[in-house]
Amino acid sequence: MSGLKAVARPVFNLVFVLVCLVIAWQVLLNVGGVNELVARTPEQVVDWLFSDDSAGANRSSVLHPLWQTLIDAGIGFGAGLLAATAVATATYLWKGVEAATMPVAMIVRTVPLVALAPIITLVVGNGFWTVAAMSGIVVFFPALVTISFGLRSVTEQMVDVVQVYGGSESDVLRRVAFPHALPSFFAAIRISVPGAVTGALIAEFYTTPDSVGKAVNQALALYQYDLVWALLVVTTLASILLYMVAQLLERLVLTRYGHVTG
Amino acid sequence: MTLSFRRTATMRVGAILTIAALALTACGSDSDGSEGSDSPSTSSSGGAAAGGDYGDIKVQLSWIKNSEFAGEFIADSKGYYEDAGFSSVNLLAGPVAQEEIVATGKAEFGLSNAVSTAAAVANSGFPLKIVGATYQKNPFSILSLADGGNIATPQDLCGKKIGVQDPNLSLFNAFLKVNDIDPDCLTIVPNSFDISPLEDGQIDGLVAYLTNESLLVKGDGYDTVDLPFADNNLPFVAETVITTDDMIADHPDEVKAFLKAEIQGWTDACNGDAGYKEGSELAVNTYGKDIDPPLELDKEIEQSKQQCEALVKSDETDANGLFTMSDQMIADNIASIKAAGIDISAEDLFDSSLVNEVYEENPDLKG
Repeated sequence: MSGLKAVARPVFNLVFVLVCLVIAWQVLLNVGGVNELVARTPEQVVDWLFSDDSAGANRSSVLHPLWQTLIDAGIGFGAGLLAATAVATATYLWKGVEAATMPVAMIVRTVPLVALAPIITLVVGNGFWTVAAMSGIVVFFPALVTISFGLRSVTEQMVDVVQVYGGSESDVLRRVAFPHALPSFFAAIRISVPGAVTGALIAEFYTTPDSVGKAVNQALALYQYDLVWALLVVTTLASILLYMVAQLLERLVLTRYGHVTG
Repeated sequence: MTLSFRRTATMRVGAILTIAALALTACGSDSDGSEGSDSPSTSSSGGAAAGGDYGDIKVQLSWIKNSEFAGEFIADSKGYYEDAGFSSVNLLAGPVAQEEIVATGKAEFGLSNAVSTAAAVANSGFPLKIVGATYQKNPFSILSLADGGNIATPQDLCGKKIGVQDPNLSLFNAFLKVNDIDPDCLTIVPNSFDISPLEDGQIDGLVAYLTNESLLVKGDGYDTVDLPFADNNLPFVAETVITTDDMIADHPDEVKAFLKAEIQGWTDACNGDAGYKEGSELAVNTYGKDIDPPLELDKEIEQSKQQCEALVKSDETDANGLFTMSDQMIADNIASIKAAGIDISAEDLFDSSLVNEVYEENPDLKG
């Protein structure tokens, strides 16, 4: 029963978000007075992707770069979340780590990524590591803060229980701290999903493969506005869908672990 | 308190008056524009379209205001635009999407290149035409250092790292295709128009303008090698004058007046050393004086000279006049555009009738 409820809510959210998006899109076009040479309506984008004469080719020209961008975002997501979890655990175990890492994390976070990007490219070249670094930075900071918060909210009493029974530091971590931080961890995942996509798009500006970040730039230069709009729509949809998947996963796991989900 | 209140109140009244005055002038010039007869434009001497009043127009340039637009600066400062019937011409600096600016009415005319305009017409149905060409050849080239990449033939590209700007990627791929170069034999590195990666040796070659980046690198003391697209199977016109189909249909005289002033400006700009200097000084001291880093006069004069000798003037312009586009040239352009993956017919992209009429009506322009 509760599992079904956990699934129903995100699906309802998804539909609601999509309806809002389409309405906002249409309203903005009408109010903003965007020239119709440049603007595309939701209907036109759907037509271009599905009922146009070259709909098949159109779809592959969108899905091919989207796939690359999702891979890039996945790299950043993995790198950022892994680093954040590691650093958060280290800060939990040794207080000194926090003092050492937080200022650096703050600097990296405060400097706009677009300004940081050329430096990263200089250091690691333009390939896999740039994507991992840039997309990872977007994911890292919010994830670090959220996961650290979860770990720190473990109470003294809970730790005492483990220690009284002869449990070591790592037992505390495994049996109390991590399970207790699960809600924070999933919150971090949810925040990170759209962040990873944004980071990937910026990183792609500096790397070579066919990706959404590159394709949008080239399509603009060639005045392929149908392609530009379709890329934006599909990337947004993918972001929303992934966010919903993260939310769904969160609900299922937390329900199983007995956390109260709202 | 009282004083500051009064000042604000006075300022407000002043502002309202200014707005009212502006509105009135706007109305005034508007009705003048539609009547288009009674305002005297004294200095024009006899052309068919003389005496027209086309009001204020905007022209979208393709690049920052350096001597690439020497002819426009001269036409503006010497009053050729005014003589042709424009009360003022606002030159807008690039680079932007010129086709979009012109097609959406933010500027009456724009300067672009044949491939870019063909893309806008073919891919998104922009109602635009090319009505004249400043550069008879495009200035795109692969720039390399003599003791670095040393890329003198298309075959030399293999095994090299080439810096390509995103907007020029499809053009670069077309260049590889028409020269039978396998794209996999070289590495494309995303790059801006920044020349430092080339000078630092991070890349072996850079997609550049013969008349700009090439001279900048030379100015820094390097021996450079150019591989021009135009001389290697990818000829097309650039700094082309674009305007809308509506403009051509409804106001052909205005288009002709603009082309006439352009031809006069560029005739002066390419009039030997005196002309190169005049246009470059206007770029450095007047039109482009706010550019950072500042323009250097020597480089701008060199650019003026090169663009006039290699790009603006040709055997065809000697015979037919500046800005003209022969049928053969148009056919070559369409072939290059096709190589770049864009299918378009000559009549959907070029309209050479107006520039030809300008010369018929003003035979002395050929000079």
